[in-house]
Amino acid sequence: MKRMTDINRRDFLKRTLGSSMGVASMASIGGSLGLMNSALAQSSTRFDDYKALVCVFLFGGNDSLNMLVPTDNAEYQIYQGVRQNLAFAQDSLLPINPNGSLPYAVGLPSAMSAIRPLFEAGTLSFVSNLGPLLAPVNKQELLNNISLAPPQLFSHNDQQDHWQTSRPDAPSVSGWAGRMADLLTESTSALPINLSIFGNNLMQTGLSTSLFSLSSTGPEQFQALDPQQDFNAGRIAIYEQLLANSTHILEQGYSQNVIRAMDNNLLVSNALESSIASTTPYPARNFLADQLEIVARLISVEQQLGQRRQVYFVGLGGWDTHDQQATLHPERLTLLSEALAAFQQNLVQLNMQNAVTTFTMSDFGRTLTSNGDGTDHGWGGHQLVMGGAVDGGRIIGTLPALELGSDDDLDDGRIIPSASVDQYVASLATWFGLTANELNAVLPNLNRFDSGSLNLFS
Amino acid sequence: MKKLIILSLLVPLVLSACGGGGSDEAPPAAPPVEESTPPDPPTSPDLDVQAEEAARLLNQASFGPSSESIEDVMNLGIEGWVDQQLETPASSHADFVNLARLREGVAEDENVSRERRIEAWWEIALQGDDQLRQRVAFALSEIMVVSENSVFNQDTLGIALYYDMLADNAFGNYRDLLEDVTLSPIMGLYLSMLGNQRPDVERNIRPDENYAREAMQLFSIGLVELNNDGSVRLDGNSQPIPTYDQDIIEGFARVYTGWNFAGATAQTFNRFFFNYNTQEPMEPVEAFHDTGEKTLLNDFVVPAGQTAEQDLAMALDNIFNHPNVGPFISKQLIQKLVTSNPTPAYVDRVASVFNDDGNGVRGNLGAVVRALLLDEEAREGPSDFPNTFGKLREPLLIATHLWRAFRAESPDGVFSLGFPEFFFNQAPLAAPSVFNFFSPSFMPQGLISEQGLVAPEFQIATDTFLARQSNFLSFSVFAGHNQIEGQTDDRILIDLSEEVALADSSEDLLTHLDILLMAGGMSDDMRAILTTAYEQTAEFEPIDRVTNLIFLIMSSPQYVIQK
Repeated sequence: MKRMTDINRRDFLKRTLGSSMGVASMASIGGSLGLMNSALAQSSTRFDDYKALVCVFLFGGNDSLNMLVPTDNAEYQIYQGVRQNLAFAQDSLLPINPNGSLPYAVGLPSAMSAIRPLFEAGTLSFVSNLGPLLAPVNKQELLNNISLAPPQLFSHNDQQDHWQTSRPDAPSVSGWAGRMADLLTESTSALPINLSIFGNNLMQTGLSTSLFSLSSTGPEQFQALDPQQDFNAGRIAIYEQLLANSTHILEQGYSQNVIRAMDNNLLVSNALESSIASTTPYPARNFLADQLEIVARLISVEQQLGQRRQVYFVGLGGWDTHDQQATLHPERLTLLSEALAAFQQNLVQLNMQNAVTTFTMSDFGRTLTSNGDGTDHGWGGHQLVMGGAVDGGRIIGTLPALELGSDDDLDDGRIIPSASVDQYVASLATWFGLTANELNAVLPNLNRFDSGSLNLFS
Repeated sequence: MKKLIILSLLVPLVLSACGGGGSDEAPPAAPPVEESTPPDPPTSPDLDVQAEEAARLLNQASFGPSSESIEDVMNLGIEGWVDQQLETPASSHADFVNLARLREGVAEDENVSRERRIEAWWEIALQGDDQLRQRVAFALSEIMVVSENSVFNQDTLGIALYYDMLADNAFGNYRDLLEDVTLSPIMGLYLSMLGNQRPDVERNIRPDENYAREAMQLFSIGLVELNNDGSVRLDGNSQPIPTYDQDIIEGFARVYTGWNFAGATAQTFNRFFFNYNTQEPMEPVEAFHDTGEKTLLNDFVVPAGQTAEQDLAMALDNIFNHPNVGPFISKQLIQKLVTSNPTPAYVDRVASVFNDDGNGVRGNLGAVVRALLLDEEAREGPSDFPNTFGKLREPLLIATHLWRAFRAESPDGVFSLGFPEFFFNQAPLAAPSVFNFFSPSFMPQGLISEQGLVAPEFQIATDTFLARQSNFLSFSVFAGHNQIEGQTDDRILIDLSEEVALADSSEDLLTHLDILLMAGGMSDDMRAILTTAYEQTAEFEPIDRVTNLIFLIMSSPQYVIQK
């Protein structure tokens, strides 16, 4: 039998790590796990300033057409006639005063009162009627040939993937934020610049870079394998050998993940020790607020983490309102609005309000028509974008007609998007600092849209 | 030479007397081992191999091998054990919940707490005789998903009844399973078929499409046409062929109208709380059923003027007879029990049994389960595909394995881990959505996706939950055995007396743990590493040396990938 001492470390590094794992992270195997200060991410050194994107993914498909509701009588009657018992009462709507002209005046549901001041102060905008598109397309073309629409339209996971990959035309193993990180990250061994408080997601998965996932209570240590405890040393040394001792692909993949988790959990925990807590409380019993709170704490230690660019991913489920929408959807809107408002206030406290842009995504908009007490899967929908750099107080893009059978209505109030995910992401990525060439690499379908990137920033 | 330690179970274990001794005291006297260990049972390579083969089957077909279950399989043979399990009646999760109701004096109109349902799951997983049935039910609970993250989250009994329904149908016919799932009031609530009504054109109200869509996408046929081997069929332009379009969804949505809680009437149709009944299947109220003609899969037309039940029977037959069901369901069951990346030929063989069990019956799930477990690939996979065969064990199944392998008991008789999602990122019937905790097509970034492989369970093995799973192990191994004094009565405690009895010989101990935990899959390298680890702890108490080994093995990539 081979003894452990026979194992050549260089060999096992080669065997375990394969091509996608960097040397720095490997070094931690030979030494003590986790003491990775030397490997602190020097990511995106080309940037002098700090910027972060924060994706708030609304899982299940937000009925976002109920976020901007007509306030004038004529248009309200159309809305009410289509939506029936799912329509918000006209006298309950909160008026807003967007910059620029609109086809019809709109207000917010009262459940969104927490973000109205942000809109009015120019820190937040709505982006109207977005969705995945293969290329610009109109209703007649779709009725003639539905394959001009992205495949598996109306399927939750497929449309989530479309939003997260910007590649509705082809299954992709990488997301757009992952591909950005591939371009911006010098060392694949360092802490990923994609940080998720909502677990694994395709958006942040790169080809050469991964995401780091933590819960809203912060990273956790491997207690019995904690290198900061001397009495674990013997066990850790043995465990490192086990991690390195495999030729099985799934085992190697698992080892890779464990090593990354050990290194990064410790690194992020240590950095968080000097984080700055919010001076105003986040709303209680708000799962999204919990996540955004730790995002703000992580942003407060960006210097300790050594990252000039970061992408955060948080999520909130419960938007798939086939049933009981009149009760459930306003509850979701309140959770969303209060969490966003608290987060932005926290960023102001950190003086990071101009460095961080928060934006929403969701599977799809929902049918304008009702199924009795809820709505079904649609296509286009509105999104929110928030931050000091944002061209705020606007409804960016084109509001759709709300009449059934209009040119915007594919069928039953499933609205054809007037701009694509690619155009939305392009604006975010440009603000983030990607060059035009990099933009096309990250968003290979962008050039199909003559109007190019949306303008979300001032 | 390996020695089959498993068989030592056949004789009384003298060391059991030290079970209450604390590890902080003098180590349990080792000498009795020498005196009372019986003569070695007749050892032969055959017995070793048999035990390893038995343990491999039990990794796939139970909640983890124990010494007892390994013996059972060795006695009955692989095929004999599977056949015996196929005849074993189902344990009932609902019975446990009802017993808890009596014990705690919970009124009929109130709900038993969620922990009782989870404790029932642990007890049945750890101690139930119907291991294979419950393991298949667990797999089905991740395919035909309902989740307590819904309006019925307090309805513990209703959720337990759904689980029992899956277990009752686990070896029955898929067509019956699909009907029972469809008419489950819990599913009706979860995917909003319950209360779904015929269209009201005047008010632009359409039938709800939720169940129509997910039942096809996730429970039966999937999004694109498949070959019988599970691969995607392509059209003349090399494009996948969708199995359905929006019109077909709308056809099914109209079929699924008129159903409500059992006992609801046209007069009470919208009185949710008045009608509430999750103990019985849904029933139709014809006045709310859409009696128009509907077009379903493959241009099948449901004629106008039928009852809700007649429509439903035709619609479920329409789905059931779609050629995708065999490969779609078979492949997912293979992935959940045996291997993440089965060869197309393996899927084809199992799907063929789904299509015809040999007696002309389509959808015989017992035959499907039998076929997928007895298949050459399931049995010989590790040697045929040494670098890719197998799957990441689900965290819940690592916990059940630990507790089954080491004879866990709880002093108060209750397996009190009512919120396993804290450690494991999963809990029975508590997925974040109908898409389950993880997707069958998830490809982890890095080596695995570079090889074009899927590894579904990796989706929940995030940086946080890798740490929590490790901390569960340290809590349950180092601090979770019955030789520690002062444990509270609600702790789940493993009993390592059998292993401590082998503590004098690292060879014997490692062979025993190799079979019990890794089905004999421990490589010589790994054994050498662990032998070194064991030697390094020579000055520690035997119990602490044993727990250290168990922790290291169960944390290792070699263990967590079930082969």
